[in-house]
Amino acid sequence: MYEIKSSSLLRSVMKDYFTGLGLAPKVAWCTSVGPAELLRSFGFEIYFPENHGALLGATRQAGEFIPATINLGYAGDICSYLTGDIGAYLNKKTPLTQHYGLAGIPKPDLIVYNTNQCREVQDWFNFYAKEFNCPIIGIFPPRHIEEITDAEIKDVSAQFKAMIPACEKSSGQKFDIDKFRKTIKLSREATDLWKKVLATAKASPAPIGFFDSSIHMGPIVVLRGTEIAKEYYRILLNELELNVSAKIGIVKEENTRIYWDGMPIWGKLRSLSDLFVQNNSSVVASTYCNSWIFDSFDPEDPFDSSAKAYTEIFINRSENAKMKLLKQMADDFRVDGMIFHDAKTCFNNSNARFGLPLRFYKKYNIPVMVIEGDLCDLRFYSEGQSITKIETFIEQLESLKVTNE
Amino acid sequence: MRSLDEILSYTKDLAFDLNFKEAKKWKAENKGRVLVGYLPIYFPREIVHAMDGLGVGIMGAGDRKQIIKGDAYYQSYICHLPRGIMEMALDPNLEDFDGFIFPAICDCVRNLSGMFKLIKKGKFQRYFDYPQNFDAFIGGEFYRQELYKIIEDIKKINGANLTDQKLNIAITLYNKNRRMIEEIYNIRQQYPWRLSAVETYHIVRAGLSTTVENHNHILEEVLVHINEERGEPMDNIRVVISGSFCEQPPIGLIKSIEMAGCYIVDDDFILGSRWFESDVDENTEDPLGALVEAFLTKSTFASCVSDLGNPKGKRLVELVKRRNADGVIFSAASFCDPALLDRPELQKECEAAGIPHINFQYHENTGQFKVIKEQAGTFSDSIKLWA
Repeated sequence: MYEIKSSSLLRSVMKDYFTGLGLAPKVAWCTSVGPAELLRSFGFEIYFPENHGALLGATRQAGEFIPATINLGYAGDICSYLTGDIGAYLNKKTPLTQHYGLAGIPKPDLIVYNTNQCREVQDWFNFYAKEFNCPIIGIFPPRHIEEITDAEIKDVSAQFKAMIPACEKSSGQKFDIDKFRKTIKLSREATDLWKKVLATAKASPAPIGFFDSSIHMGPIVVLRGTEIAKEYYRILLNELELNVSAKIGIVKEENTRIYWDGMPIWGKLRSLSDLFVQNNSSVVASTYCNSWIFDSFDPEDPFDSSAKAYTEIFINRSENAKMKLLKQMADDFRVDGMIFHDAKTCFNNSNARFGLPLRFYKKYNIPVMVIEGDLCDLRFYSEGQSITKIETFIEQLESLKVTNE
Repeated sequence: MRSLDEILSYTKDLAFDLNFKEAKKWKAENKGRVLVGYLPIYFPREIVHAMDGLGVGIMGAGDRKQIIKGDAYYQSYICHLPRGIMEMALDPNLEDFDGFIFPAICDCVRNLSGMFKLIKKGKFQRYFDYPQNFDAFIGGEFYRQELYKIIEDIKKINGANLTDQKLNIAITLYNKNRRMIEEIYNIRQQYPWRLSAVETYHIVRAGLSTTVENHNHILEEVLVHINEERGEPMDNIRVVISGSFCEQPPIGLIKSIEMAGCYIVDDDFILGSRWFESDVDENTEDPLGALVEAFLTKSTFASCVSDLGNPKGKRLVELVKRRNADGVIFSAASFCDPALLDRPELQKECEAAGIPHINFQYHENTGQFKVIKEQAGTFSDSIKLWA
C-alpha cells in the first residue's frame, strides 16, 4: 500500500506546533489566509480557528458540538467551522486535549481576521473577542476581483499598516520591518516548496493527491513564516520527487485523473481516498490545497506584496477569473473530470451554486459532477448516494477515454 | 392634493411594478437619460441623479413572478432573491436599464453580479464594495475610488459630467427624502394606526421606482394626511422587525404580523432609503467627499457593515428604546447568511436589555402565514399579559 513516509514527520511538526501554542507568551488568532507574517514578526505564536474547525471535522466531533451553537441562536445553515468550533468552546472540549495534551484552546492576546475568504470569519472571531475581552482587528479587502488593481492593493496594504499600533500594544514589541521582511521571505520559500509539492501530482501516477494534501497542508497553513514549514516541505518534496522518478504513486494503474473544487469533507477524507484508489482514480489537484500558494510574496515590498497575495486568492475572484484559473489547473494537471463539492454551510467555497460547472463543461468539454456534502456537518452528506455518483462518474470518464482514444 | 386612498393605490402599484414602467417612461422622455438598477441594501443614488440618471431599486420579484429560468441557474442552498432577479433579467422586465450595481452584502449578491456579467445584461454590471474600515484615509479613500468607477460607467454611456453643483442638488433632494420618510416613521411611532405597516412599506418602496422629486411630492402629501387622525387605535404591542433588509418579506407576512396584534414601529425592509441617521452635508465644495464622509460616520447599522467599535446589538437596543417598542421580531430570509450570522449577537443584546424577541425565516414567495401569525400572536399576547 502506498504511503507517504514524511507523514510521521508531519505528526511531529504539528504536535510541536500545538504544544508550542500552549507555552507561548503571546498568542494571536488569525484567519487561515490572514496576515500571519505580520503577526509573526511581532513574536506572536499564531492559532488558527479554521484549523481547529477542520480538526473537529476530521475527528468527526463537530456533529457533537454544533447543537450547542444552534442553541445559542446560530442557524444550522451557516458555516459548520463556526458552529462546530463555537460549540466545542461552549462544551469546553477540544481535540487538542486528546491529541496534543493541551488543556484547551490557547487564549488570545490579539485576534485578526481577513474577510478575503468570507464574511463568516468576522462573526466567528468577534464572538471570541467578546468572550475573551480581547482586542480584534478586521481586514476587509475588496471582493469579487477580476484582475487586482493597484488601488485595491493599496487599500489592503493600508489596512495592514494600520494594524501595527494594536500589534505593538498586544505583543509589547515595536514593529521591525526587517523581521517582517524575514517572515515574508520564509513564507515565500515555504509556499514555493508547497507549490512544487502539489505540482508533483502532474506526474502519472500522482505521488500525492487531494486527500493527502489536505493533511500535508497543515504546516503551510499554521506555520507560514517559519523555518519549520520550509524544512518540512523540502523533505516532503524530496520524497515525492523520488517517488515520481520511481513511478510510484497513489494508485498503481492510474485510469483517471480528477480535480476537486471546494472544501474537503473532513470527516470522510479516508473513505473518499480509499474509494478513488479502489477505482484506480487519482484526485490530482484541488482549489482548496492550491489556496495556500502565494506567488506574490516579496520580502522587498512586504506590505504591498502580502496585500496582493492575500487579496488575489481564488475564493476572492470573479466568476470569469475562476473559470480561467480552473481551466489552467485542469490543463496543468491533465485532468479527465472535475468534481465540485457543494458544501451546504460554505457558500463561499462552493462554486457549484451559480452554474459554473455547467458553463465549464460547455466551454471546455471537460466532464463535471457536483456532490452535495459539507466540510464538518456530516448530516448534509449522504455517503451511499455520493459513492454511487462518484463511481458512476469515474466509469463515465473511463468510457470517454476509451471512446476518445 | 390627492386623497390618501389615491396615493396608497398609486404607491401600491408603483412599489410592485416589476416592469418599472414609470422609470422607463422617465428615461424615454429625454435622450441621454440613464437607468441604473441597484440591489439591496444601500447605494448612493445621488450620484446617478447628478448624472442625468435614475437609480432604480431592484428588490426582487417577490411572490409576483413565476420562477422558471432563474431556478435553472442555481443549486439549492441559496436564498430566493437571485432566482427572481435572474428571471427578471432573462425576461423583458429589466430591458432599457443601462447598468446594474450589486452592493456588497453577501456572496450570493456577489455571484449574482457575475451572472449578470456572463449574460451581458446592461452596459455595465458593477460589484460595488462598501468600505468596512472607517478610517477616512483608508476606507474613505477606497470608497471614493469605488464611486469613481460608477461615475465612469455612467459617463461612458451618456457622456454626463458630474459637477459639484448637480451633486449638491441631488444630495439636498435625497436628504429631504430621508427626512420625510423618517418623519413618517416618527408619526407612526406615536400613532401607528394612522398608516399601516403595509401602507408604509408601499409608500417607501415606491420611491425606488420613481424620481426623487416625485417621491418627495408623494411623501409631502402623505405627511399632510397622517398628521390628521386616521384609523382606530388597537390593543397591539409595538415591535421592531430586524433581518429583512435584502430579500423582502411578502406583503402577506407583514400583514400577518400586524393582524396578529403587533404594530411594526420600525423595520429594516427598505433600509437603503433610510441609510443615513442625519443629513449628508449639503452645498459643500466636495459633495462626493460629503457622501463618503456620511457613509463612514452617519450610516445606520446593517448586516453589510462591520460593527467593530459600534456594535449592532447595542444600536438595535437603542432603536427599540427610541421607538418605545415592546419587542423585536427577527425575521430573516432563509439562507440569508448576513442576517443569520448577526442574529445571535443581536438576540444576546436584546436579552441583556430585557427585550423580548422571537424569530422566524421566510422566502420572498412564502405563501403560508398561519404559523407566523400564530407565533406573532402568541408573542403579542405574552407581552400584553405578562410583560
